Amino acid sequence: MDTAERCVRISNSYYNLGLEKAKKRDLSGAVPCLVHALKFNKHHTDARNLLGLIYYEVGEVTDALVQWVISMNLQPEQNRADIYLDEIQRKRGRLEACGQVISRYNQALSFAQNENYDLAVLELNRAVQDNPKYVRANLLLALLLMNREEYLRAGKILSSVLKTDRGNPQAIWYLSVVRESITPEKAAAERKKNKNRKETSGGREQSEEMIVPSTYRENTGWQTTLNIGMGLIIGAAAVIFLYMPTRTAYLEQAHNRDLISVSNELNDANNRIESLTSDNTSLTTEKDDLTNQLNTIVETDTYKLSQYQKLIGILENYRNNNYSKAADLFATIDSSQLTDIDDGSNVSVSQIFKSISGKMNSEGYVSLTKDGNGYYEKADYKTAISYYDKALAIKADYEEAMFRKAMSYKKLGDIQNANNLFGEVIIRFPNTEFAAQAKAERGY
Amino acid sequence: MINYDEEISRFKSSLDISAAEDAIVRSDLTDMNDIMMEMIKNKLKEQH
Repeated sequence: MDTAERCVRISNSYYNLGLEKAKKRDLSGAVPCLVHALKFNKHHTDARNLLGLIYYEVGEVTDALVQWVISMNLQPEQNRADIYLDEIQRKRGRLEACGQVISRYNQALSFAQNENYDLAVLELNRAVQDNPKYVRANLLLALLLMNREEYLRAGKILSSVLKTDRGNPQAIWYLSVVRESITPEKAAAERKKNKNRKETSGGREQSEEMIVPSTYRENTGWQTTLNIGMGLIIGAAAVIFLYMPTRTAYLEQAHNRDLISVSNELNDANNRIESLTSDNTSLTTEKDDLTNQLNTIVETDTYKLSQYQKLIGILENYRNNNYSKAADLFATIDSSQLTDIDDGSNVSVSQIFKSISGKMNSEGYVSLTKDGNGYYEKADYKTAISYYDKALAIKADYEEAMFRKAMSYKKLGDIQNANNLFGEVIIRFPNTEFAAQAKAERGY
Repeated sequence: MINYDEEISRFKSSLDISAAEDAIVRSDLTDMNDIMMEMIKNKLKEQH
């Protein structure tokens, strides 16, 4: 027999032992046997499923789920764990209810360990009401009741635990302590206090009788009324002074938690809004910049096209021997905007401009001045000035245009500008005819 | 007799439903067969 086979056999033996104990409802005894079986063979599906069932039976639902899920992972096909899991998950809210019971027990344990025994008992009562077979909760409740010397109730609870788990050593020990501790007087007092509950307990009567010594005698009459009254007063006081403040504090904490949660969500939302606003501002700025760039490009293109249009105008007038009009356009053209494009046509705009600019620079300003003189004669001094300006744009040191412009200003009554221009003619062209006329106009 | 405080302190909390997934992940599934296989592997390594 090899080692692996031996492991399987040992595992089977442990499983058989665990199964035997489980059948006799010795669940506490069965659990270690099944755990050992799994230590020797983790693939023993029956052992793992039975372990889960036992956990489920004693109220440890999560431990049961863990075992069944692992079982399904190790053997996905033909596995009863699938049915167990389906059973729990199929019934709506069952898993949640089990979770609530466990939470109640955990909360009660926390209360008990912090010496809030009354609250612990309240929570445990609810837990065992929802799951009467929850062994751990029943044991803790019994212990707390024993601490309060409520031995009858503790005894009943321990008896019910032993019905679920016959071999539970803790329950057996507690029950022995209950039997030792209870006296006829204590039992009588407690029995009176719980008279109403006893009347409705039915089958549980037997288990109580098992605990109470035969010397017990029941008291009746005014003592019962007094005990019930005192019980009610103590109960009300416990609710007012113990339960209510804790409950209020709990609700306040829950409220504060909710408030913090909502506040955090609000902060997140505000941060998102700020981020989006910032993005929006950034995008708006970017859009404005792009719009401005586009406008600039459009304006530049329009200006450039305008220069080409003027060049065409110059060429047209030049061809028609209309030099005056050609010079007019030449004076205002921005030749820096005329650029050659290498598109294979071998047409050079700058060359065309150069070919006509020679004549325009040498003769154009004369034509423009003549045109200006024509308007001057017609007493249209403003138009005359515009022509003189164009002539001066081509040839800045053309003294005749400068003098005529000064004369035009004088005719318009703008003596200041006229005198400035006369002065310029006198200084810049001292030995010319126009300088002499300018001096005469200034009265020198 | 029972020392109640000591006895209460021995009680452990039940595994919460929400902790099931974590418990499954943390489960130690090593069995005796795995341990022996590991030992055999180590022994073979030492021999080589």
